[in-house]
Amino acid sequence: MPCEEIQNRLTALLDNELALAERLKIEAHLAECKRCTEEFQRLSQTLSLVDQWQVSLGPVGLLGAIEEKISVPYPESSGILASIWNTFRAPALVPLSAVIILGITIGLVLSFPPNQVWTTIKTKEQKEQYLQAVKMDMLKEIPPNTVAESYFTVAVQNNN
Amino acid sequence: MNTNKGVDQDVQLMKRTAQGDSDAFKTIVVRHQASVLNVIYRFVGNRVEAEDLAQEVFIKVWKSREQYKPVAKFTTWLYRIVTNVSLNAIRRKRTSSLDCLAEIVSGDLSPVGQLLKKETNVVIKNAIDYLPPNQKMAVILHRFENLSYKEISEAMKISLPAVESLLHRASLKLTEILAPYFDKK
Repeated sequence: MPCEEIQNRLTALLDNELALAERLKIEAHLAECKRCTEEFQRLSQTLSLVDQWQVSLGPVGLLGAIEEKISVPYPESSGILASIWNTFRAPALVPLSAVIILGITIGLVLSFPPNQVWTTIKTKEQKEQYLQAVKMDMLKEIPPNTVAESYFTVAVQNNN
Repeated sequence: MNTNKGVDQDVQLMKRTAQGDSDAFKTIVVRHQASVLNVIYRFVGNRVEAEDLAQEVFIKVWKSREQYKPVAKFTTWLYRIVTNVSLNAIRRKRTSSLDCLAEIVSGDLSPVGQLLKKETNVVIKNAIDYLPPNQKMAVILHRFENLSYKEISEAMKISLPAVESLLHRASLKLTEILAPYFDKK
């Protein structure tokens, strides 16, 4: 093997990264080549020095900052039910909330039927009669053949 | 260096993390934060920046947890993220400041010994700072995190001959830079 090729493998030799056969070949060359041996020793000296670089950063505590950034403050519960809940919790929450709000809205709307009769009542007296009749109707207190019933009938007739 | 038991534990922890287990993720952070920070600090030379980047690494681990596949050692996958984050940081900011204050020299040495040690640290750090980013990262991963050439190849996504070439060229460059230091001694 030419010296240039040998020298290109010296770092890998020093790092014990060569296959046995190759290592033996290179070591055999080094035993007979002063130039390559000197190069080997220079590299060895350099890497030994580099390995002396010490870094001691003291206690390391990254967890708090990481949790804050990914918003994982509490451990997730274990167990099958918890796993199912955790799996579906976030995705289900938004549509579930929307359904609930929609349901409440629809319920409110349906509880107040459109009052077309009211818009046709013209006089104040008729309105009062109508309101009285509606009130009694809502309270289910209109007995038949009573003054209240007559008010209701009048109110309805006046608006038809 | 991870034992086989430690390696298996990392894989199990990461599998649980992939299922959303934040306790497992926290364990991973605690187990590997020192190594990650050391690599990044050696690479960027600034403690504050190194901590920010180390956080970024673990956030990426969390965000890509569902894509994790245990085909290689967990640390190889982790160091791939470390490499990407570090190299991207250097690309964004071409200067790296020396942060000698963060380097605590061993208290066992005499004052003169401590001074010499600190001087050696600075000399070596300066020399490594001269290396191109890819060579620098390969040197840090190999010499200080004990990654094999194969592991570096997987972490840096380059071929095995490319790793050998990077490290050999780095050795030659460091020999050239440190030659006056050897002459002085």
